[in-house]
Amino acid sequence: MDLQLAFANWQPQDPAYDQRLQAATRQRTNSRHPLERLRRAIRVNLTFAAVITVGYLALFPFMPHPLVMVFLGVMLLYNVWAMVNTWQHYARIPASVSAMNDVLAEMKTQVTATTVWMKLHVRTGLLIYPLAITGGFLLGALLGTGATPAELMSKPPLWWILGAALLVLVPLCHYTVKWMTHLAFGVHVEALRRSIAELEA
Amino acid sequence: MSDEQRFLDLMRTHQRIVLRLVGLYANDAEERKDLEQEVLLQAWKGFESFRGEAKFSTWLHRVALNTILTQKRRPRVVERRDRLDHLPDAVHDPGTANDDSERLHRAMFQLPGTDRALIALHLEGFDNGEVAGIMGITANNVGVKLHRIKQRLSELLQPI
Repeated sequence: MDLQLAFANWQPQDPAYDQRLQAATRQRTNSRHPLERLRRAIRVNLTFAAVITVGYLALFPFMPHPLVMVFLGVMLLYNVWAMVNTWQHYARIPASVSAMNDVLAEMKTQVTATTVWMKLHVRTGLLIYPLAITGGFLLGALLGTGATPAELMSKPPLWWILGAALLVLVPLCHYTVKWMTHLAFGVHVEALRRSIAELEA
Repeated sequence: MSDEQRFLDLMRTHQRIVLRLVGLYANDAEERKDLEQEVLLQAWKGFESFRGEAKFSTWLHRVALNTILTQKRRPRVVERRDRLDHLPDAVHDPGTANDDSERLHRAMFQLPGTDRALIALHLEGFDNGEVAGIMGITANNVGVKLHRIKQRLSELLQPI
């Protein structure tokens, strides 16, 4: 078989091509590319982080217990640090697929952008999620019992419960975040790595 | 002429490139539609980087392959097989006008993703240096890979 001729004879048609072309130029369609999904996920995370940070700030006046205020302050600073880090990473992710990079360079760029985000997310989740859940538990106890923070914190069993909750929640949240991140982007990164290895072989 | 009009004209003239590349990677009609839309969108977003220094077809191949090979795709409907008659009908491309082009399309579909890109560029008429520039590997490496890919294709295209 003459491969060149057989290839030249392959003349695919799509009656909807022009319609899709118009939709692309008028931005009437959303990108489903992993880069865009990654940027979207980061925007959602940043929004949630901002809302939670404002929530922490709003809680300050109601927390007269110094130790709770210290914990809250640490969480606030950690949140802000995570948000700044995430924002810096977001700014470095290309908004679209490059028309200038060669295929190998583009795949490597996207692997780096995605894995950096995955690591950042897992590292951030190590503390933020368990502490936020524990904080929520504390807040619930305050509201449920009607006790003041000072009264609540003076009960030794509460410290044991808090410690146990953190011991369980830190690894649980860490592995849940890791699993979910892998589910969302890990499979895609593995596919890209396989393609890179194929090209470099 | 506005940029948009110029882009539309160029993309209409070169639609075969987009449709062929998409047809080489999509598992079914739904995925073909999604990939095609994504390539068109990314081409439009990157159009300002096309300054006319390179041929438009080279630029379009680069954008299309960068998009397709980095797009999250569903797993292939078939794993590598030695016979083409095992491929499901979903792989059939309506644009394959005759038996040879249909058989070639099916055979190419059996290749790993990056090999499909290499052989498609070669069959489009790009020389090894140009293929190397688009794919990001050396021209020598392109030559070696193409030799191996053609051997694999001839195995796949052997009459049963």
